[in-house]
Amino acid sequence: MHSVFEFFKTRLCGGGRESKNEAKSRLQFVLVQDRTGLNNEDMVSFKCELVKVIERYFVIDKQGFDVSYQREGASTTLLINSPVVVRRQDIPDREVEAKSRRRGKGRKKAKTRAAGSSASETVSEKSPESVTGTGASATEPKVAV
Amino acid sequence: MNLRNGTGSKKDMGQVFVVTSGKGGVGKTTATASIGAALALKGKRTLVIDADIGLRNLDVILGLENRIVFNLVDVARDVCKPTQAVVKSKKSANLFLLPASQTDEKDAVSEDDFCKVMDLYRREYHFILVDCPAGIEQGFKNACAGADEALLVTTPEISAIRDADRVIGLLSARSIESSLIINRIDFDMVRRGDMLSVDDVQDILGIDLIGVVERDENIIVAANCGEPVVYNTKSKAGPAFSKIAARMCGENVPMDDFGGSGFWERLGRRIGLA
Repeated sequence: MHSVFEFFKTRLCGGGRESKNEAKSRLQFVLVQDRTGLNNEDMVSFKCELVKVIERYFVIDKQGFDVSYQREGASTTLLINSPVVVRRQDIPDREVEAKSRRRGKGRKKAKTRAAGSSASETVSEKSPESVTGTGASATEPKVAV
Repeated sequence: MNLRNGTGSKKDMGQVFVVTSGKGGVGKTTATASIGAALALKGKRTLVIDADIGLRNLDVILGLENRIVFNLVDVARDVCKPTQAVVKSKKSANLFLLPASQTDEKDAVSEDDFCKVMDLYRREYHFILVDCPAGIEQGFKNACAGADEALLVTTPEISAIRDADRVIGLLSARSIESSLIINRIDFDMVRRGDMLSVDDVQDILGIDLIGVVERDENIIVAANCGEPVVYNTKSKAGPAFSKIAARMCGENVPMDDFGGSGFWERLGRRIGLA
């Protein structure tokens, strides 16, 4: 119903493309680079490597794979959205069990260092079987120079 | 309240706010003068400090350019007593200005000098507002040195928001909390979808909003006359700055309904669609 209303609103008010949406998406893109210190090229290779890692364990829908960023106070949250089609069957069971045991211990944190700033990564706790779309988030303290 | 650099008890200390933005020309000086005047009108003893050494402007916005004898650099170098450098406002008994030096370079004072100067004045005022120069270099670092909190001024434009985001990061690295002032918003453009809305800007920057100021010709008129816009209670900007001052005093002043206040949204809400 809301979209019908929006349709009439834009038609009758003569609005076509709203330029603010363009501003918003461009800003979000440029702020990701500013906040993470990663340039476009780095970002592309980061995504490619993420996909490779996830594909070792899951069959994923690459079309739906998306990395986005959300500001929460002083930190930026990295949201990785990867729709999982099915768990890979060729992974030895023991390896999967060991992984779920580690996940069961609570949130796993890995410290990494990049470009002079520290970043911590939080891996989703969900067990692979129950996952239809996983979301992993990583918080990175604001890069300060 | 986070009083980091003070030496006395919290009770008798003024709060120091740095007014900053990153990008130039978004209205920092106007905001400093207007909020300072509004705080003074509320009976708060307020000192506004021009930290833009070499490019001072707060004096002309307040109409005090003819009364300056000493300046911030003189205070930092012990050339004069702290009270000698302060200029009293013509319009208000509670508003005072510490001007910047117009002849010195930006690096004439250090961060330590700024902390020292803030501590000299802290006890004498309820509020101290520091008008920060544009940029993130030495002038910015100095202005932040003695600050407890920040008022982050931005306009709903892509370049101003990008710079504001950078400054928020730099401030939080210094443990300075920022409150957002969205300046020069044009609600007609927001309704048309050609300007980022209050919600959009807040979503992107992710800090608390303390006030929204509409684009208003009266700002230019007020600057021409050297009288802060808050004295013009019929303007759009004057009452908006007064509300920010009230919120800084801890008063619970609700935000206006900014989002979707156009005809279609109002109609939609009435008939239960939007």
